[in-house]
Amino acid sequence: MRNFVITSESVSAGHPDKLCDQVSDAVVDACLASGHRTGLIAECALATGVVFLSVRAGAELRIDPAHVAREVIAAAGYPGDPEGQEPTVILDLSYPAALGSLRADQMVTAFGYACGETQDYMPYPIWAAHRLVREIDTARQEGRLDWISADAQAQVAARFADRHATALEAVAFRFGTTTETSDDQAIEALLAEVVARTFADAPVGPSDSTRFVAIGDEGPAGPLIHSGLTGRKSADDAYGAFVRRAGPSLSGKDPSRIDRIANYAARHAALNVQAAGLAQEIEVQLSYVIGDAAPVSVEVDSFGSATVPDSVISARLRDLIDFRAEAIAERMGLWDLPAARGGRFYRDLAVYGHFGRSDIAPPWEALDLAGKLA
Amino acid sequence: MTDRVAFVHETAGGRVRLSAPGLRGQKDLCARLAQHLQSTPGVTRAEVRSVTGSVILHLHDADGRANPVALVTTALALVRRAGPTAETAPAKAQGPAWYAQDVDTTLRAMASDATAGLSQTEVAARLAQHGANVLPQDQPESHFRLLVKQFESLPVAMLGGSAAVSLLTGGVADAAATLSVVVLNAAFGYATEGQAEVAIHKLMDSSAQQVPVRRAGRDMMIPSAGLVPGDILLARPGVQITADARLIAAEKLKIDESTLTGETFPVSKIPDGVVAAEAPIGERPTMLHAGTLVSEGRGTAVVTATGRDTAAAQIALLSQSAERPRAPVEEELEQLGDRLVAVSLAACSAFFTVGWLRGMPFREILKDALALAVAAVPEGLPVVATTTLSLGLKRMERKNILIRRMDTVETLGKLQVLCLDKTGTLTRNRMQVMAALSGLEAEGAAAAPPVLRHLAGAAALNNDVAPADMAARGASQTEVALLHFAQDTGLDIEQARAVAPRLATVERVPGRTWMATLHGGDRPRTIVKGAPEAVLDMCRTITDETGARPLAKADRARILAANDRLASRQARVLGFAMRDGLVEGDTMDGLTWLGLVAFVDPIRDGAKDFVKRIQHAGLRTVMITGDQSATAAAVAHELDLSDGGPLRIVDSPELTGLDPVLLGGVARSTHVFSRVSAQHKLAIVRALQQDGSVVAMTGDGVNDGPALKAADVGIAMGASGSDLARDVASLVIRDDQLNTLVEAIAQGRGVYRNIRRALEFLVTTNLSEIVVGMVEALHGPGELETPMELLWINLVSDVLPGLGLALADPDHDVMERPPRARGQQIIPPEDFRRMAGDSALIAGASLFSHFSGIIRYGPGPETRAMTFLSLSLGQLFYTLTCQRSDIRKLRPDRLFENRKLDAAVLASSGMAVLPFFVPGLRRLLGIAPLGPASALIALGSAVAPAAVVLARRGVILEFDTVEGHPCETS
Repeated sequence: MRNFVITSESVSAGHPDKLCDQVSDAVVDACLASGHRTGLIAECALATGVVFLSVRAGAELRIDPAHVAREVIAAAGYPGDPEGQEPTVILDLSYPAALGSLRADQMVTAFGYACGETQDYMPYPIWAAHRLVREIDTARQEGRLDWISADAQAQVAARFADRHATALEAVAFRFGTTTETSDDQAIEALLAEVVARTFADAPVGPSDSTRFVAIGDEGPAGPLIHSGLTGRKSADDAYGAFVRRAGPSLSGKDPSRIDRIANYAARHAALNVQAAGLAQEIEVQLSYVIGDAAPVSVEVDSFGSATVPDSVISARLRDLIDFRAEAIAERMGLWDLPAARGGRFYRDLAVYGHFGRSDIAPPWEALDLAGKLA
Repeated sequence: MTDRVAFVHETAGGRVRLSAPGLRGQKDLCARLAQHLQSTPGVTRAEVRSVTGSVILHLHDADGRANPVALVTTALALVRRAGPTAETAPAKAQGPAWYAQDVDTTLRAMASDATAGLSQTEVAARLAQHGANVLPQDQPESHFRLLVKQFESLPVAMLGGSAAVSLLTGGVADAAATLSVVVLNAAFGYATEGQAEVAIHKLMDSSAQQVPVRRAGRDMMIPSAGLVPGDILLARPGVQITADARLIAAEKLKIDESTLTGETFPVSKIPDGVVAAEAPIGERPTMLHAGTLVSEGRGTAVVTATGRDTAAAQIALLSQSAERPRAPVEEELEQLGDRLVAVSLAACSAFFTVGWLRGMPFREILKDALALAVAAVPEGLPVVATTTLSLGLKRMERKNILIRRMDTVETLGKLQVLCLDKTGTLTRNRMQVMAALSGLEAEGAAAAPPVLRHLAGAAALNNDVAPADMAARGASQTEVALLHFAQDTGLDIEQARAVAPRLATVERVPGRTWMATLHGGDRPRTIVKGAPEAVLDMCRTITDETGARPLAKADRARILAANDRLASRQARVLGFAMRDGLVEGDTMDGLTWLGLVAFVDPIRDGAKDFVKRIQHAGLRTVMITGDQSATAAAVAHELDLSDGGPLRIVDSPELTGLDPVLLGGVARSTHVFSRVSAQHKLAIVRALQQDGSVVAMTGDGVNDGPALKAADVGIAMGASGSDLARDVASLVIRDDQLNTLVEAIAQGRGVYRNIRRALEFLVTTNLSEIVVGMVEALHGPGELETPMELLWINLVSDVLPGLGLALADPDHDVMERPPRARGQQIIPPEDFRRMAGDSALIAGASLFSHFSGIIRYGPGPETRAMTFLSLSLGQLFYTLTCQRSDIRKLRPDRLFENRKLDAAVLASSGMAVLPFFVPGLRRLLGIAPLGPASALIALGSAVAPAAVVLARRGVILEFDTVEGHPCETS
């Protein structure tokens, strides 16, 4: 049968690319919370001491994007130096009148996936990577890993047999250090504080043959040594390397953008198909062609794990779910979530992945359709 | 001994003449007395004459001034007591390196006291000893110098030379005429330039600049000229340091030393420690040097050297020359004049060689060569330039535009970026209460009267402005706005304050974003005002219509949301709260929330139109503001700063931390710099300049000094700006109107263009004379015009029309064209080609007349007369077509619109035909009267060049039309 090794990675909230994703989504949050409903795209890039933020909106903003950006960066572990040196924010604002109608001129193929491999219905490698990074961030905040900087990365290689994870081949950490730490000391602490917690209830844990590598960069890393850009971690945002995905960034777009929300709809569909017991694993593919509000095709691939033919599943999805952009946003309440959740929703998605997030319980992680699909 | 000083007489203008016989023959004493009097308050100018023993004082307005006799008597006594300074001056100049001494040593050596400063008598004595704190350049140029200068230019030297040659070759009349031309020219130059220099000097004078010092235990402002060694100088942001001083104390003091060291960013100064004596001027942190500017922080320093003894003056960093700084255009003109002289010398020598080869008599050759030289020299050039500049300055002054630096006029013409300080330039700098939300109220809802009354009461009580001071300029804008708001709710402020007198105040300090006032009276209470988040954090209850109740979490969220909404609408928001009882200290608790008050500084009427006009003129506008980016974006959007495109905002409280190259690149396309503190404006200006832009900057605060100074044009908005900002600015808009700023740019462009047009005209006509002369001389002996003829043409046809062109109003479309390119030559090559063509045209027409004459009369006075008439009138008529450099822009229907030019052409035409009616003049010029036919030919040739230029314009326009609108022809 099919045997392979798949790698996936995740980066911490202080990684420059993730900082940019968070800034972009924090701008979306703030705008939506202030009642902005006329289209919004926020893109961010950053380097040492400088944040470039481009915001295109259908109407004048009622927020301070520069303040939002600084707040995100400070919260991610870069509070600035004690002298109050804050990053410079270079802001491009434009108000194109046509932004409201963007949904009609996008061609998008979005993929959603769900499997029973992990508690969160996510593929094992990306699930493990996110968990590792989350543990690193928690341990750093709690002071258990006081030498690690806000910029960290975890990579996981997992062996699959017959599309099921069977072994953890290797785990690699890369991080900046705030105090001098040898790689051996680092790996020891990471094993104790991070690895043990991560895999405590994991379907597959480390074995004697699992390799652990720690690569510490001298200094706090982060924007000091590498620049960041919104949308550059789109594999980490989705399912890692495990399934197909579309290229566009998820972060920095409001719910009028089909290239963002179609991914949520596809995940929602896949998740409920899996939960309904129709398939062990399932990939849902939605294709939107310009001019049509509904997807021209709703395709599924169960990789031979389904109890009914794939065509039956796709037919049921098509019957049950309205995949038009407005309908998705409406059904999931995507416009109102930031306001309803105290001003932040999308920003939290911008770290540790947009899917399998039982901690924030976004609407696309709800198993509300499983009963109807079965 | 006491000198006898007697009053002689006084004239209306405050000019007083006194006699002091003791001064006779005492040249040195007179000089020192003059210097001393010069720096005495109330005296604008002082002259002391050793020959007559008289003192002439120009005093300020009559009321309250000292008795001039007593004034001079005391001054003289002090000067005598101090003794001669001549021997001590050089020693002091080499004096100890005070930066290498500690503070106490310096103070002791200077016999000064840091807390009290010098006494007034001590100051007077020292002033007598050391002289006024002025640099030589600040003293006006003497009349004699000015007169001598008129004879120093190369063209005049050539004319003088030609007169000498004439004399040697027996042409006494020629020599006399040439010399009288030289003298007349000099007299004219002396009169115009003298006037211009006086006007310019008056505008540029900086010796009256005020500096803060401590004297006799009091802090005061004195004219910079009155600083003496030992004075305690108080460094404040924006203060120009005009003497060398050893630092005594400093608090975050930073000095802009760019004039001395070229160092771009301000350097820190610390009083402690000493510096090695051999440290270069840029590396003396314990020392303040003359010529620098305080950019931030505070400090005190003891003056160690003044005037020409300062380090900067010693190493000639501040110009020692007595001449005012020259405008670049003047330099350019001078170079151009020299080049033309070189051309004419070359022509002469070529002619000389040809004549010699032909075997012409030496005398003839010399005479003809001389004529050629005279033809070529553009006599009118320097006069036209200086007069245009000075009249331009005066005209601008009449329009409330004060130019304080010579190069500013032209720089205005090539401005590319205009940095606008939002506050005070684009806004009125008058805060107004835009909204007051009491309690939980949302915006737009009707105010609940009882709660609003609480809020108004709090606004009136927690307020540092007295109702009587509401109109005062210095009062805090927000405080005044709050009082107006309280008044408008019907509150009697005086009474409210009387009922609840203020007992104590917890001031707002860095790190504490609120202030609290403690009030007595029947009901002692504490009122807090400050940043809404901070005030709300200290609140436990809220008042609404039903009275006080606990503040719920949802209430907080609602208040903060209301705050955010207000803040996003360009408003500054303050929160108010109060509690019963008196609480003092760093934190407050248990307050009751009263409400929010939002202020706006409204955008000026016409600001949007102003931005549009500036952009239309090809300038980029950059707004600089301390506001947060959302507010800045809203203002920028309203003003359409990005001209319809995407708006780029750089939001940074710490611009200096940014890589200058990066900042330069970013600044290129930035419309708004937000959250910028004043001291970072300098970084913005430098970044834009580094990117190759010519930058103007407006400012009104003391902190704007360094940026105003660094900008190519620093603009102070007069009526509301601080004195210090005005001192460093190169341009002051006195009426504070944005339209005047547009006018200033238009005038700047206009003056430069006018000089350029006059120049093009002068060069073109001179070239035509050279061509005519060369052709005639080469064609045959005896054909060349006489030197007197050519001189006459040059004087009647050059100077007046040149001035007429130069004094034109700015073109009506002057603000619809892009700025002049940086580094563009005064005559661009393409213009030079056109000028060569035009001069060939004039020369051709005149030569046609000349050869007609040769055919009719042969070489002789008649032929010369024909050529003279064609050439002189031809040039005059041609002047009319010189009103636009781009011939396509010339409007035939507006050819006579410039009345000054019309008058000049008319007068010059009269002068040109005058010799035909005055026999003596005719003989001098060597021409004969003409018959009607010859006169007709000559006149026709005179009209031809202008006619051809106009005809060619028609043809060019025709082609342009065909090319530009291909569809219209089909």
